[in-house]
Amino acid sequence: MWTFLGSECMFFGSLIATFLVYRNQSTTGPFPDEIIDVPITTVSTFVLLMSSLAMVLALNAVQRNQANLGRFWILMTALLGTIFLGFQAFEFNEFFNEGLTPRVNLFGTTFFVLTGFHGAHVTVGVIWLLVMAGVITPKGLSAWTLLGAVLGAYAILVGILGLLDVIRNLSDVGAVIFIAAGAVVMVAAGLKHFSIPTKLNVASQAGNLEVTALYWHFVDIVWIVIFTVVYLVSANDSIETSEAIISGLHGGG
Amino acid sequence: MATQRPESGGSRPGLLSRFFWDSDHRYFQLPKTYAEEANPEGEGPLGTKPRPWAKKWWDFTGGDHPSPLFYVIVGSILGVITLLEYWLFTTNLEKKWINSALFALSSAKFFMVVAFFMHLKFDNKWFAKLFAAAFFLAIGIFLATLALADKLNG
Repeated sequence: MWTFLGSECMFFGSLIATFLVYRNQSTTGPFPDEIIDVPITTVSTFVLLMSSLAMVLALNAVQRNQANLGRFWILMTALLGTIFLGFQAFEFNEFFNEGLTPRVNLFGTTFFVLTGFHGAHVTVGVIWLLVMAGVITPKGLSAWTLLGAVLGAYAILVGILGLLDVIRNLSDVGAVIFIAAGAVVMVAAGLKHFSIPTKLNVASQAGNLEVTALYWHFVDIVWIVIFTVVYLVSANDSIETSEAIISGLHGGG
Repeated sequence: MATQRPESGGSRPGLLSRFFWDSDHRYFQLPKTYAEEANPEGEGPLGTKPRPWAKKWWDFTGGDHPSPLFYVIVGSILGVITLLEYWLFTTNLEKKWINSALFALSSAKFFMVVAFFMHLKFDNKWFAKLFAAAFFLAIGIFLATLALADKLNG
């Protein structure tokens, strides 16, 4: 896993370098300072950091052979990762509505490639976490309650995306019904799932979960760099550039 | 599926066999890590043998097993740093100072996650060296790309 993470360092290092090479090179808008919403991204960054905390608590519990607690924190990590993906879907949708696509300018191309690949990595991580939650789940009914919790979380996500108009053909009432139904299913499944006493020896899975955790934390540290370089620094730096280009266009016209 | 060790006819297995199989049915003879044990020693954030001056901190963080509270404290610090970054972004300080501070805070978060959450501080040193080598190679590629672009753009 460490070798793989080393190769991933070079992969994301190249993508971030490419973003920086083409920074402030766009001749047409939208420019970063016009479109990037730093407060929302700060919240999503916080969510991803807290998912890393949940991940390390999950590993800690599994190493202590605490099956239910470990499974709870794994699912919490997956949920926080899914919320982060929801933020990213919302952001991409907003950018598309504002006219920023991968083909409109260099900022759009480099931004979507970089953050898109990161989002893909988070998606893989969420799937991996759900598999690990299944691995340390006792056989039988408990697996079905786990499935219920996942479906409930999915319904909540669909509802939230509907309310945010990312899913356009879902009315507000329909979105609220999705959220409410998803919450009921998730809470019921969760109560049933975690009430089952288990004597499963989950400590034997600590090594496998450690590998999953390494991947998840790596995805987190990549976002720490992206948040600083792409959002905070670039949005701050591009203000003068975009103003110069816009004033030049007005002067020329 | 369990890996079967090849029949060696009682003689010492060859180099290839030793690389791909061993008595634990592991594919590669990588060094064993604490993660393979249920209750490993030396899992604390200060390693297996804490310095005398670090004993108090060692006890607070749970000794061999960092307590969940320790991780919550690290997570809280990461959250506070993120809020601090946002506050810096909204200030009217000179940009070079803002950017320098942002990179410093980002680096602090990066190394806190790697050291404490990824357990690199108390994992096998082979892995730490492997990751560090790849990380610095990535930094080299990163800087070379920027330098090349700078040269080409005049």
